[in-house]
Amino acid sequence: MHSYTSNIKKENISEKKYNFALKTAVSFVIIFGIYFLITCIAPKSDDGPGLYFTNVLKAQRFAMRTEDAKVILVGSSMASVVHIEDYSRDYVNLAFSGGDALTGLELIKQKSEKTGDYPELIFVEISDAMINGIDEDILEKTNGFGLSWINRIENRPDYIFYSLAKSLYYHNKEKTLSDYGVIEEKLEYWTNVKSYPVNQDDMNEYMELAKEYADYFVEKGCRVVLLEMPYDASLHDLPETVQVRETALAYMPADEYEWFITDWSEYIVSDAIHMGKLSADRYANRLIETYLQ
Amino acid sequence: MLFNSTAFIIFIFAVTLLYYLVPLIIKIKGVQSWILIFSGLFFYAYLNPFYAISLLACSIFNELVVLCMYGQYKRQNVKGVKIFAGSAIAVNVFILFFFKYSSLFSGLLLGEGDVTSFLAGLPLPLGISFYIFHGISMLADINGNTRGFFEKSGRWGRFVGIMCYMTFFANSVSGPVTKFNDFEPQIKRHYFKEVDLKKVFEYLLLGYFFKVCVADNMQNYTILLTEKQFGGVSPIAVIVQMFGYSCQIFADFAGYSYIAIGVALLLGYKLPENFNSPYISKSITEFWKRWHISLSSWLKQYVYFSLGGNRKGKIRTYFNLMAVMLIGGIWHGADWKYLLWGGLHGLLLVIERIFINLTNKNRNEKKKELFVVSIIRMFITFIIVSWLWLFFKMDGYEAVFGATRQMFTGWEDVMAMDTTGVLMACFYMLPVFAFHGVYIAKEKGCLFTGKNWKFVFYAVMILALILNRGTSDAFIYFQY
Repeated sequence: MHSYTSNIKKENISEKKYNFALKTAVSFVIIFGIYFLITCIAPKSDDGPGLYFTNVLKAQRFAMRTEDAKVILVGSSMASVVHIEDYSRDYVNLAFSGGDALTGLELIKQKSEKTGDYPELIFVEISDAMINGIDEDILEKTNGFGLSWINRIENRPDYIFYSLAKSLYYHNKEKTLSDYGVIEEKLEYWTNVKSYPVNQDDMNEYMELAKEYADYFVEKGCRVVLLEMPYDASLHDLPETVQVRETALAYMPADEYEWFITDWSEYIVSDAIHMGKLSADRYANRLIETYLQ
Repeated sequence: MLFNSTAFIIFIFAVTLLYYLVPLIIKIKGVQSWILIFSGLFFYAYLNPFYAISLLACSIFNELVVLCMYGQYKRQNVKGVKIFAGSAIAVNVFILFFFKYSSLFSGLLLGEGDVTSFLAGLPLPLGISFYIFHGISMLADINGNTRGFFEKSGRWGRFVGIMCYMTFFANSVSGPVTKFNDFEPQIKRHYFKEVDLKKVFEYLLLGYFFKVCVADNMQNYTILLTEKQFGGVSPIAVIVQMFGYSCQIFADFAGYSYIAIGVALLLGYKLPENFNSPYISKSITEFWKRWHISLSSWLKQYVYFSLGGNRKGKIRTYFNLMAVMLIGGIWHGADWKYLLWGGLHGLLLVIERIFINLTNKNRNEKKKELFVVSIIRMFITFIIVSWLWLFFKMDGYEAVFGATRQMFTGWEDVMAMDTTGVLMACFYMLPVFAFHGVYIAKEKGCLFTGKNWKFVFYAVMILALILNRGTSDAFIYFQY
């Protein structure tokens, strides 16, 4: 009798555990289904709730892009304000705020090697930001499992929330710098930063890497245009700015590589290193007119 | 290894497997305890061998003291037992003081010289605040029940029991602080079939959700609080981030505690609850019955009661409350800001006690309070507690006062804020508020009372864990 009762007890416990697991699984499937529908219909912002999100989002969208990207701009936050993508669906801005051109170049290389399609023209921002090297985290999130549904930034609940809030309250209004003049504190800060050269060995290492990418893409039939994004004109000849320029020209001289040179004084660089909206639009226009029309 | 790392998941899996399988093969008494002891030492050594050595040294010291206490007990020398226990407690306190606070006091007394630099450069053994407290608890509990302890098991059993208690990896790093008398009776052979896997699942799910999805994401949106100057910053941003940090520290610490409790349950041990929806507290007194319950309980039993509790008059009670809170404050770290934090909490406790003494003569008469009044009290308590958390996050009390000033006087800069940051901080506060809201609703019996609601919550948390992980970071309380 005792073993019969204890067997019933064991069966009840097992049944309870089974019911618990089943209910959890069924609830998860239902909740997941509802959430999947939400991700399908929710608005999708072009940026995320933070630099990291925006960068990964940009990288993942590029990696999953089905149409060929004919013209690509790579660089750092200084290049991210130059919206060449406004001119054509075939143009892509692959500049990463807090990042650099090398990450963008590696992404283009990986995608092109997979698809066999290479862009016609790549604008490469040359700057001290290249000392950051390639962002391995971004690369990880644009390969294999990193691109799976569960790893895509667009499917994160916080991104969905942000996009929804943005669509309701911001009406997709982009946060941009004004063109009314430079902010004095920022100019003072960057003047101080750019007065000291960075480690030359590091600069050489990454500039050599940039050269390798440039050579690789030229070999594949791409046109590679190197450019220095305009800073405030007063920073043009500071030691660090000059160091970057001279190192770049030493590795990629103007008679062998294509450089886009512009007069910095034509552009208002509101926080000393990022162009204001109107100036950035004008710069984008200059690039398009010079190379694509 | 961090609780939220892959290495830890593998570690737990391996330990659980060994813990339940090895005793089936090696039929030696206490083999499970030995597995736990070696797992604990390995856990510490994985982070840094020095941590394991410190823990081992502290445990062996306490073991030797208990051996001496046993010697005195056999000679029926009660005074001798107390002397050994008292001296060893003092040594434990000294060890904690040496590693944590010596540089602070050296700086104060001797200035910023070589001695202070040397002391400041000493590595702080991980979890020292917790395992020293465990050691003190053990010595005090054995001293309080020598016969019960020394007659119960042999020398070897006592040795294994103490080592198991001191090195138990689930709670020795960041709690819950477990009293020896609560832990020791649980040291026995455990069987996997006795494990309540549902409870283990619930605790681990809740813990990882709070840590990985809430705390690790929220840390990105409370960055403003690391600033030193707040001129030109929107007061809305400062206020939101203050509340955001409150939610972050709760999610981080409660998350860790839930994981620790879940892991302990998996191994057959029941650890004390550490949090009981603290942000629904209607007073600071109630807050300390709901926040870091294990530490409050430890301080109450070993410090407050030792000082006399509330049995020596009102003034002495207020003094005892203040002393306990100052100790609780400085326990968190060697910085005057923690002492200030503890002191302010102590002051509020004293004020509340005075108010209760003045207004509530018949404590047995419980007046029914309007729900709206309860909500207002909860909100006020939450504001006070959140403001006090700024001492933890910010760099010195000047920064705290600067931020506070901006909250009241900076309204001309109200729009000067990172709206995205504010929005996302609000987003990540929602799970913490929801957690507390569900608790209230269930208590009132108005919502979420059905048995199947918990499965919906499980599903949401699992989905969040899959999709919305934050950047892995150390637990805030690891530094204490």
